[in-house]
Amino acid sequence: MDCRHANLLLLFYRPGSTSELSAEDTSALESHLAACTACAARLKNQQAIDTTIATAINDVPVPGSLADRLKTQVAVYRKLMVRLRVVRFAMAASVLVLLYGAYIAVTRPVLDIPGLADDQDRYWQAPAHTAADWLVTNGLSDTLPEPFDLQLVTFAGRRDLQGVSTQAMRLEGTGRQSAWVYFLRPGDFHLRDAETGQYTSNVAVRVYRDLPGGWIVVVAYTGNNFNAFLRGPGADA
Amino acid sequence: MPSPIDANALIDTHYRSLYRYAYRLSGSAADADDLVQETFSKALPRLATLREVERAKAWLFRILRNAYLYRIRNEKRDRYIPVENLDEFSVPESTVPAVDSAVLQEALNELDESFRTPLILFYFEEFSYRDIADQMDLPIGTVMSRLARAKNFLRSKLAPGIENDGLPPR
Repeated sequence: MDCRHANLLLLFYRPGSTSELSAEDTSALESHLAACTACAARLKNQQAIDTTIATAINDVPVPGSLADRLKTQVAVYRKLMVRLRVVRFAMAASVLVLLYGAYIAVTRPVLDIPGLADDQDRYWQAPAHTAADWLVTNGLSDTLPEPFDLQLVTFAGRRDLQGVSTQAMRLEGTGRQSAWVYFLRPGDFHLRDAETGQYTSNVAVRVYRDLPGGWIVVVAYTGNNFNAFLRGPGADA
Repeated sequence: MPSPIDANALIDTHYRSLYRYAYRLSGSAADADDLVQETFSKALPRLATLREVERAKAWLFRILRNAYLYRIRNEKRDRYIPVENLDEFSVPESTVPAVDSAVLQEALNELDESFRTPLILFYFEEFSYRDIADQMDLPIGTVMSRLARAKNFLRSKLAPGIENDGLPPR
């Protein structure tokens, strides 16, 4: 290696740090520097210059408050992000509520007034036939514990009984006499305290257990005349 | 997704070097302050993308430089003196006396950013040529050439008598 070549490589020679030269160039340069006092002096000079400039370049006073201001910036940013998340969550929740409302609006049933009128008319025109159909449809025709007069039926369907949806039938006699006949499944209620008896001066209750299909029938009636809800002798079923 | 890197720890580790870099780039304490704050304001939303804390320094320096370049995008380049004739590969014989920080800054201000940045990174944070090339998206040969020219210019400004035309690179 001649001095001109060494002079070129010296520009990129950084002893003590990551070398910018190849291992081969570094080795050749270091051999030359060991033998050439002029180039060694150049290197020494270059290192002195670099140290001087590096020292000067680093001589920048940093404001003492800068770190605190940057951390305040971080805190503000984090608060902003939290608020943004809350707003996004609220917006998402609002969208879900709107979608649910729209779903309900689209899927809720249309009130069928003619159907409603037909149902009521069937009980007015042919209560026994309508009630018998309902009993058959719901598998209850064999569960009637008494020969109820189905001509008195004004309603048959599901009815809420103390929070439990049950099949039920309502019979209306003369005056204000009426009876509710509830068809219960064994698991619907605890029935240990359910006994036949007169529970108020106007209302008596009859409980029938172990009916076909495991059904339990509870009849609550007014008027103190249970026979008023039963078919007379010789009446059609 | 939250970043595994704590923002306050990042500030404690890097704010000083970022400020010095910004100051030497811009030549102004106020601009340096703004640039560092801008750097962190841009870094915070993207902190989750930074998976390796070892890369944080180069990442932050790059953000700062981009912010600086955006600021000076309309700056007229003819404010810098041409340097076509500067000897790229000379090692000065003379030494540089102790350098005043303000005088150094005046010399840096005369350099185009494309020469100033590699010079600052080389002296200031001991970035390797490869690191500087990555920062500036330049081939390493270009970085070495610019750095050699910039170093010679700086030496000529700080130690008059060195044989070159005294003109800064651009």
